[in-house]
Amino acid sequence: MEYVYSGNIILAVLLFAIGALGVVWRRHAIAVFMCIELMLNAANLAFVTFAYSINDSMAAASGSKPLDGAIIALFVMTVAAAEAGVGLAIFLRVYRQRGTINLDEFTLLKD
Amino acid sequence: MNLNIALGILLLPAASAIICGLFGKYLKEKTGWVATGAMLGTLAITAILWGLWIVDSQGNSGYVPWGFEWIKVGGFSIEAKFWVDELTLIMLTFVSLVGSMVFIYANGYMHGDPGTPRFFAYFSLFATAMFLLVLGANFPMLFIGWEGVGLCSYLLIGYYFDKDFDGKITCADAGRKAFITNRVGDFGFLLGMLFVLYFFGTLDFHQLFKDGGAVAGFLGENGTAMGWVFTAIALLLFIGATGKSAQIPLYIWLPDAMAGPTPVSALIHAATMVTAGVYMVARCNVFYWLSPEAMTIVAIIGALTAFVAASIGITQRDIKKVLAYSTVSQLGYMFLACGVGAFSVAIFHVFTHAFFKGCLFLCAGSVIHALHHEQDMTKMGGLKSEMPRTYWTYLISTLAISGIFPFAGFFSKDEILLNTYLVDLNIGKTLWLIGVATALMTAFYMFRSVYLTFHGKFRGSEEKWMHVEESPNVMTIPLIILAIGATTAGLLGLPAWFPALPQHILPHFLDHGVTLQGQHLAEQFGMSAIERHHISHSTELGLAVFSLLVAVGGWALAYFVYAKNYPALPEKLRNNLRPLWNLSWNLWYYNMFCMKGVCGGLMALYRFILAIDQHIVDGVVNGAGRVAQAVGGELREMQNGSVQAYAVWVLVGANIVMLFLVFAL
Repeated sequence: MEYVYSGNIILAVLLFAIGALGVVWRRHAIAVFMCIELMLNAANLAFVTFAYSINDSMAAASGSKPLDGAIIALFVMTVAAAEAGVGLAIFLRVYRQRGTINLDEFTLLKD
Repeated sequence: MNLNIALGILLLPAASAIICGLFGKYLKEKTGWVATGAMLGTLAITAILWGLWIVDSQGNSGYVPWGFEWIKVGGFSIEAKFWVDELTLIMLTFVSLVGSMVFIYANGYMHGDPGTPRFFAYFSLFATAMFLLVLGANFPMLFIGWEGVGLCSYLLIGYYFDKDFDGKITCADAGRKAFITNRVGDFGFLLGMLFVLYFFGTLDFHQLFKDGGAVAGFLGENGTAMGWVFTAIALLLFIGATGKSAQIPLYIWLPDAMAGPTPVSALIHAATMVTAGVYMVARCNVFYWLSPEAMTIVAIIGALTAFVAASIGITQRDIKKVLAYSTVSQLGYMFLACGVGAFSVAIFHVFTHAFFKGCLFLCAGSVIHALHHEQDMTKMGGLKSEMPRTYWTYLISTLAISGIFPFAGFFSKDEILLNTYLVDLNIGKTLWLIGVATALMTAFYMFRSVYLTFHGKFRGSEEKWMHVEESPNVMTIPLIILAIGATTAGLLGLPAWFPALPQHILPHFLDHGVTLQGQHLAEQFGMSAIERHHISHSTELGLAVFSLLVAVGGWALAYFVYAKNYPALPEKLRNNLRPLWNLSWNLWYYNMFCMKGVCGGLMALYRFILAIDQHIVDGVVNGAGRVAQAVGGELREMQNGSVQAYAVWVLVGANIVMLFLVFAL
């Protein structure tokens, strides 16, 4: 039997992969940040998709429709928003101090 | 009787050693009289001990009451205890008597030497250790003394540590040689001690050897089945004795020990320390009596050593080396006596030997002193007229060591030869012949040294002759006293054929107390012990006359070669008997074998092990380190500070975990 929502899952995997590559590849902090958001959204998409498919099968069996997946997606969005706020504030401070937000310049952890 | 007074014998020289060592800077040459005083004190205490012994009608031996537990490990304890019996008394007597004479003499000999306080500190320490060795009531105490005398011997051989000895080695090397050679023997001694402890559970002589003691208990339990234990112990202890008493195969150190000052050679390397091996064997005679095999080996080694050393002595030119080889040879006689079961006779020879050999060395020292450290006899001669006291005492001692009637050596050596002749062994007569041949050579090389040194014309430089004069009284009076001892000590062991006077005083005294313990045990438990035949007094007398004739023959030969026809005949003999002369002059090539063969072999082994250690063992250790370093060097590249690189590793890790979860579970 073919899985009905496989298109959604493939999209989520592609989005996640693009986001991960971006996190590793890009030099500009804002771009990296955006890629992280992309990965989070890929995860959200997967959550929501699986929630749908579970709802389908459970409704056929017992008639109940749990909302766990959808609610987790909401939590993720909240966390992402908070993270965006904190992250951008950090970049702002870093930029004020160092005059750049190119990630290659920040290797203090090495020492 | 209160034997605590015997402790004074230990404390006086110890105190003297401390005083000479710590305050030598201020006392300078007065240290000599401190040390001599202490030594005379021990002589007085020995006399008191004899008095106590005679007064006490029982004549019992016993522990010195004072003592303490020194080391305690579980059920095993080492006690610092001391013991006085017949053997101890005899040893104390000649050590303190000859020691006092040598100490007095050393005051004259060391005069003007800046190291005198150091010398007397070591010398007193030696006396302490020697008395400890003799008085110790158990193996560990004996061993401490044993090692102590070894240490002092090493220190005193190397006394002139900045000087060359004989062109081949330095005095410091000679000291090291003595010490290391003795270590080889001590290894055997220690193993022997461990065997004794393992099988008998105690190291105390009295507990071991007394009637119903540990050895008797062992025999009662095991019968004759465990006879090998006694052979093993006897031989291991004998290895120790061959080191300390310079027997084959470990005798090589003694001739080089002559690098020390002459009083040291006289006291340590002739009269006392080197006889410690004989003392130890006599003390442990039980183990030897119970193992005829071990006794036979002791006798063979003794006879061979006596013969080889005497044959080397014939060609030596250094007067002290002649005496050194003669010491080795006489020690061989003593072990021969032990080996044929005549332990008391061995100690009798130790006793007489201490006087005449001590005297000979001191005379040699007197000559060397007069000639300003000339020791080569071919550069001496004619000293008789200038040094009469030295000459006469040297001559008397030579008569004694050669076994000329009625001097001391005649009685002790003849008793040894007689016992060897009588022993019930297949090789008994062979050993006796070797002993007689040695007696001939002894007389020959000793009179050779007399004629070369004191007769003929002086062969050194004019200038030296001008300065030759008799040594001061402080040196010659000890010579005279020792020469009197060398003349009369034989009275303590007159043979059975001797009329009128009491016979065998000293041997019987020892046999009564110590030296027949083992024979009694062997009889009691039916073990086979070495037996001796009995012969009539007239036959004994015949043998004595024969050995006297042999000695006189050696004397006559020496007179003919070195007095009548010197230097033409010795030259001719050397050229005609070149191989024999080479053998003797090169010490039977044994020294060379030891240095090149044994030491060289050990060095090669050491280099081989070093190579293994450096390349294989170190290779493994260093390799482990290098691998860790290389891995670490690579891994540390991961921590480059780039957040994104870390992110890559996180991704890689997450993927691995995921793959693991998907495929492995």
